[in-house]
Amino acid sequence: MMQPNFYGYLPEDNTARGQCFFLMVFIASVHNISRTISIALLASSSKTLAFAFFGCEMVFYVLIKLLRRDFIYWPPLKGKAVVFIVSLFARLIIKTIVDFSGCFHMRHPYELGGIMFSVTLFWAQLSPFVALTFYEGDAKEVRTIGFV
Amino acid sequence: MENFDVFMTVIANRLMRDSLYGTMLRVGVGAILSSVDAITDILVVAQYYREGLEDKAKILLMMITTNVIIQEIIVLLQYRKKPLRVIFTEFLTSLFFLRPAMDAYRVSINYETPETVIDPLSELIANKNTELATESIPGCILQFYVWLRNPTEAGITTLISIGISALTTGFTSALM
Repeated sequence: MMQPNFYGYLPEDNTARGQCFFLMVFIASVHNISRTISIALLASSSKTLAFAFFGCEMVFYVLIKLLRRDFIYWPPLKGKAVVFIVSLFARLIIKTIVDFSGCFHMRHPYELGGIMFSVTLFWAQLSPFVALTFYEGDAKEVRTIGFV
Repeated sequence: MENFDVFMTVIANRLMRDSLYGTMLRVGVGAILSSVDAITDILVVAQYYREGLEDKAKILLMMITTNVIIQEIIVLLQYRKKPLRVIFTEFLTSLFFLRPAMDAYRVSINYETPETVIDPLSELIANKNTELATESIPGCILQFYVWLRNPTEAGITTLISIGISALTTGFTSALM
């Protein structure tokens, strides 16, 4: 194993490894549906709200990376502009993937890092309920107006 | 002699673990899922046009186009030192949504070629990341949004496409 401390959750046994892979696919798919529902509910309530939620998360993540002096992405590249553009592009793509799939491999310090990964997972589980309150709020308002 | 069976089992398990067949199966299934996802997305675009949801169809089409454009940029960077004929062939491969199958095939045969920037497995991961971030994930959100707003017009095709997109995302995420 190349990095036993990082990939140690994958068992050596073939059957157990297959089960682990199946569970990873299942968890990622369910995570994707959960997060998709939350953004779709927010967008149904207000598109601006959905963009604001997602945008704020991205800005927060980039700011944390900048504050920790961890923004520059790891591949060796030449030219400050190229390094900046590739780093920004890669950071945003990786964050989007973790947001919507909870990809375990991205908890690596070169990618999201442990704390950001945990925060992202926690928020992803919470977000459908937050979105539902906005969605239900709108629905209640419509019902009230209709009744009046 | 009494421990011979244990010894052989350990060797067989190690051989199976290091075998390329598991990787072949995983990347093969991943490639099939990616292609099916692209096909269902196109079917949904057609459905939206039929039902008068042109603006949603255009957004979904834009996501598919963005994915292809970024994959073409990766081709240009990856094969920039190769002859023009090779670049053109690779360009067409991405244009006709054959990139997942081609990447999977190259990983399965342990394909090695000089003058490329990254190895086939890294190329596959780069293309998969692009596909996830530009097509599968935003496409899934848009389709779910349309289904919430217009369930009748969106139809069953949208629900099937959402399911396949979620499964593709999950599979690709676990595969990385």
